Amino acid sequence: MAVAHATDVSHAPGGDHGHGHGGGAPTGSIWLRGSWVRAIWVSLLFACVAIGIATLIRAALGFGEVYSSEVAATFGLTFWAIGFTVGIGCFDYWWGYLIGRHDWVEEDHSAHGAYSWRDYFKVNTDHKVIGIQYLVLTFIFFLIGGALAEGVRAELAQPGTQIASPGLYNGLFSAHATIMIFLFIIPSFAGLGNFVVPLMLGAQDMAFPRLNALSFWLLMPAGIMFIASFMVTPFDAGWTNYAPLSVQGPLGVTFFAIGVQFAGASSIATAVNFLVTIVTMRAPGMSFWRMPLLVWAQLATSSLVVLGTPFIAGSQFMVLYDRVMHTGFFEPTKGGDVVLYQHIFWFYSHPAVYIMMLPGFGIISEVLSVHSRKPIFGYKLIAFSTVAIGVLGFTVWAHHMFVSGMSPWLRIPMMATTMLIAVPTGIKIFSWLATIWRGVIHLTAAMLFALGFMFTFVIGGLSGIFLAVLPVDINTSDTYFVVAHIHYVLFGGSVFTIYAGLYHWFPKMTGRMYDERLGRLHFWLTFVSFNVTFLPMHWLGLQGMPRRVADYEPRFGDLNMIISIGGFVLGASTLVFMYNVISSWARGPLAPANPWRALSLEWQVSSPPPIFNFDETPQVVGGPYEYGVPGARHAIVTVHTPEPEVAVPVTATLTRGAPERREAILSSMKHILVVANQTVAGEAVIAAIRRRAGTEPVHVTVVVPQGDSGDGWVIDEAAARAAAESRLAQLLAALRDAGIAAEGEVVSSDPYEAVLDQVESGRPPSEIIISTLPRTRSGWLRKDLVERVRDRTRLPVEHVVVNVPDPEASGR
Amino acid sequence: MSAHAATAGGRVQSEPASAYHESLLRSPVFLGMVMFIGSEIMLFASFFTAFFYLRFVHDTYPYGGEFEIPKGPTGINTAILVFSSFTMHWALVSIKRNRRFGLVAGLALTLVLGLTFLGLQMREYHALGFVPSDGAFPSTFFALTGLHGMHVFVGATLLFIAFVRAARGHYSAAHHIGLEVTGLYWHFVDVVWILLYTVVYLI
Amino acid sequence: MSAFKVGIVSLVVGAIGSVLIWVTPSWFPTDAAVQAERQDHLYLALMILSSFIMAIVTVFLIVSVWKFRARPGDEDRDGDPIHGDTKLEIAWTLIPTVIVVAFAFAAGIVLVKNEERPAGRLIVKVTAQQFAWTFTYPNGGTAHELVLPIDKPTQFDITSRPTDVIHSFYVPEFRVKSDAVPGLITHTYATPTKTGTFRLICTELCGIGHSQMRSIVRVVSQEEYDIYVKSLPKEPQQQGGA
Repeated sequence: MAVAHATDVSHAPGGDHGHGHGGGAPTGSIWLRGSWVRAIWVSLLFACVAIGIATLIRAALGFGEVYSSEVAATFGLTFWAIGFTVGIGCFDYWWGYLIGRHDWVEEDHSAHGAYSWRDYFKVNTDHKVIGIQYLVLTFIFFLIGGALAEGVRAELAQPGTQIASPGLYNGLFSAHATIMIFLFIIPSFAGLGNFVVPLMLGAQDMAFPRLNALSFWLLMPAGIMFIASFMVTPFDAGWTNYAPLSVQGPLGVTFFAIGVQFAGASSIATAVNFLVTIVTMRAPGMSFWRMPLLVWAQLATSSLVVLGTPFIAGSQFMVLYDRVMHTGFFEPTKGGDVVLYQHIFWFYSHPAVYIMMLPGFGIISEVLSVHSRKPIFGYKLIAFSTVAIGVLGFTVWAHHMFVSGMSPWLRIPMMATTMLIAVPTGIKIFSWLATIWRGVIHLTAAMLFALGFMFTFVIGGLSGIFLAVLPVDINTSDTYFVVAHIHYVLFGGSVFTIYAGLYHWFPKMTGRMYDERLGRLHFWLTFVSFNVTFLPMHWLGLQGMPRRVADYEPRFGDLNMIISIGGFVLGASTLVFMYNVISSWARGPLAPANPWRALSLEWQVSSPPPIFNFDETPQVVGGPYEYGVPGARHAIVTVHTPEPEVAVPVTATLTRGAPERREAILSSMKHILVVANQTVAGEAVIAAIRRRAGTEPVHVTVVVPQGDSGDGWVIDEAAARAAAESRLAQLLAALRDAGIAAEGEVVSSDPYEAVLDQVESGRPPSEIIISTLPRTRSGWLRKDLVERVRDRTRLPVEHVVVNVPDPEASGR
Repeated sequence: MSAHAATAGGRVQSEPASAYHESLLRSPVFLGMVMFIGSEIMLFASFFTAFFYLRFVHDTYPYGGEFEIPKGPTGINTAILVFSSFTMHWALVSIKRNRRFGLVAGLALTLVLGLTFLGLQMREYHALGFVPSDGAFPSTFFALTGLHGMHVFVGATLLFIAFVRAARGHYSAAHHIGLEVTGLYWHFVDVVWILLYTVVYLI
Repeated sequence: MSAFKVGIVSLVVGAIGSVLIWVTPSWFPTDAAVQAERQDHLYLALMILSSFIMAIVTVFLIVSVWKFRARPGDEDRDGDPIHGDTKLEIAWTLIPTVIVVAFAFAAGIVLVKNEERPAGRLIVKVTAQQFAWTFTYPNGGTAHELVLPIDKPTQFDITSRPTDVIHSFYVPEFRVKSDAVPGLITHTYATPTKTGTFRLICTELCGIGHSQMRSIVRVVSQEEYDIYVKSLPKEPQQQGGA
């Protein structure tokens, strides 16, 4: 687990505060302090009180129907969610200040930083912890949304009803989209940005760390509400929730409307945080033109969130009012207008798609530049185009309404702005192609997803141009052509960039390297199955298959079956990713601070970073993409407790790659052979190896010979072998911790034969270290092993003596 | 919300007290409130959009008959709210000159005026004679004025907190960012009301 | 291998793709209206544009990965420090702008032509409800199937029942679509050019019966149409709106 080590806690900013850092036992009863237990009872209490008060007021005002499930759901869910955030502890600090608690301490950082895995389940103010909390929670929602999609595809695999009645089916795809959009893509970028952006800026945290924590915890009740709607009647008007269908819809629609409010509040709070952080907390020397493009992207995205999200809040408020209070916003018989809903809804929901894409563009800029070792081509134009997309994004909403019956004159201006927005997007694509041209392209998993993104996103963008053209849109609106488009840009676009970002920053976040082979497998499985699933949908749409249907013309059956199979393989590919993440996080090789040799600030601190990020404020002296420019530096970073001087070969992290690649790397490093048995885990052995590793890259082969101890004692061979394996594992672990590439095995030959085997192999060592027990106890030395090896091999041989205590009678 | 909070995450960018006034927009807390108010403006904008659309774009206005709204009494209420912005300004100016009396009195007056506004608005609601479910215009009317009323309530809460802190002497000429932020929010509430009154009641 | 040469190669690939697109059978159902023919031409032009763009992106991607992939020994090497090329950047800003503006113009022209309202056109009222379609012909006759005379410009006045939800009137073979909105009358236009039986599909989620909300459109000769319409019962129709 990524437990960060505070390099020097007393150097925490502003001097020593209060009772210092977390890690101590929490005080007070679990029922009364900020915790899951308290969250559960406080949230239920708030809900019951709210429902109670609402019912009492209805009775007092003389309503005929004193208890209404709609009213109860509205107030109950709202206050349940608020109660949850109160109970889990988001408001404890502010409340303590407000009521003047005697033990309230200002800025004690007691809830800052992850000192144990438990900290990830509590309110924590460290942006790195919050970032990982976001990424794990949103990934869980990704799996849930994906499961719903598999339900949809299972139903659609054949014409007729398979597993879902039409009502349930409508609920399945509605929840699928809602969860993917509000609980996966948008907050995923928030989480990744949360972890990376403050580091990239040279800051110690976000501007409002407690607000940051609240933003995360607001997401939890929103997600639970969407899923809980399946326990009443699921909301079934699509994620777009058009009136009048939504107003007439079942109780689940209220769950949706309220869940959206909380997801929106979370989003807006995060965006305000990002904006203030980026504007006020850049390191000295970091002008806007020296910011990494991911920061530009978050700047534009956050502006869109702050300005746009209130419109979806308003639209859902109005739906709620129409449902609960029977107002007439969208009710034609009361003077309301049905199309009004669509205008208000899409005024947010179009910028929402840029909210879901711009951070991904930022990630792609980072990944392409670093993994092809080249500056970004046309940095300023990419920055401009990012802002342009943000601004233009507010002028195109009605292209979702071309056939809605809105004022006809609006259609052509909307088509014009929609076509124009293709230009800044195209600028980015061409700039990215130019970035990798003449680079040195390393096909890491992150890079594969970035390159795959270029392919699939362009397809999505092109189908978008088709849809911008009014007559084509009139024909293809609400058909599977649109479903194809949205999945090419949302999965082939956003999700691919999320994967690229996760792989790229995995070492930084967890302190471990992921498995490259599994990453490659994940990419190819995903890429192929994705295209198999969504490419045919273009044709289906043109042939007239509408969207959001549980059933279709029988002649589409075969293609739908193929699509469903593709969809199931796509789902399975996620499992490969999950396995890679979990196993690498738990026991992957430790990652160096900068495995990609990147220039931006997050890579200049350890992996994972220290709790307060930087010991001193960095000084930015240049741009962040100056690869290939000799002596170029982005920033000067001062570290108070430098890492020990152990040379870590850059490519040690790539040693789990293809065999021939590995050979090439290893042959460029000095090969040291270590021969030891009883003493193999001794300190002197490790020290001898590290001495050599300190001056140049080394690669170590450890051989533990079991045969011919030379003293004739009878020993239990299996037990001895097991003990030898365990000692070997100890040494290899110690070497891994020191960042030294090493491998080893227990062999049954005697030590002299074992050395010769190595020396005469295809990869002979250039130095040998033989470690033995002291002369009085060593069978090897009784047989003059060291001299014989020196004579025979003519290689430098170091003899290390280790006095290992003798627990068993099998000593030699 | 003392200056500590302002520099909590902004250790890197903390400025000396003497540069306080020029750097208001560089204060993270103030900037954060500006952006939050930006999002609130957009929330009101969505309801104003509904109002404008149903009134001018949709062709069945005024459905359900003319709905009488009390321009006069609400005009007086508007004056009360506008006056409260002046008392708020008085409080802020006072603290910048370290005059405690002006600070506390200004805050108290602003709070009283704000609550008066709310009280009078609720009385008007009672006397209106129509309810939200009567039609499109009542729906937008109650939605807009109700949303505004909630914001006045939040503003009153902020004022109350500021008042208590002012009485306890938390503020000084150099450190009163919490007051600036409260003042900004209150002015926002006032400006929205002026817009609302003009658009809904007068036009 | 210069980028310019690769660019030429990609344009050639795009051209080949365009030819292939031109000669392959249409992906569309039969085009049974004047509006359909126009839309199909526009679509074809867009496909050719796409061929070129996909060719450029794909060729450059493949060539880059092939030629510039890191080989053993490249672990510490960096690429050339190229930061940009102003002429190139201007080019790939201006050229796409010109292209999209051109397509927008073409689309506008097609739209205006498709929505022409010549005098003497046939006007059919379409009323949607959960989950059925009702058609009212000019003589007041109503039916649940749509019958149209060939070569006659037709205007559809579409709505949904006042307390119903949004539906959408879509005939794939005509390539026309318009939502059926309660409280509003929307319009779309088609001039059928082929006799036959075509599909009418609801394309706006309207509840549990959405996938089944289909009907048929029969295009017949003017004489057959006249006979059909005369035989229809006349029911008082309630159109939507205030």
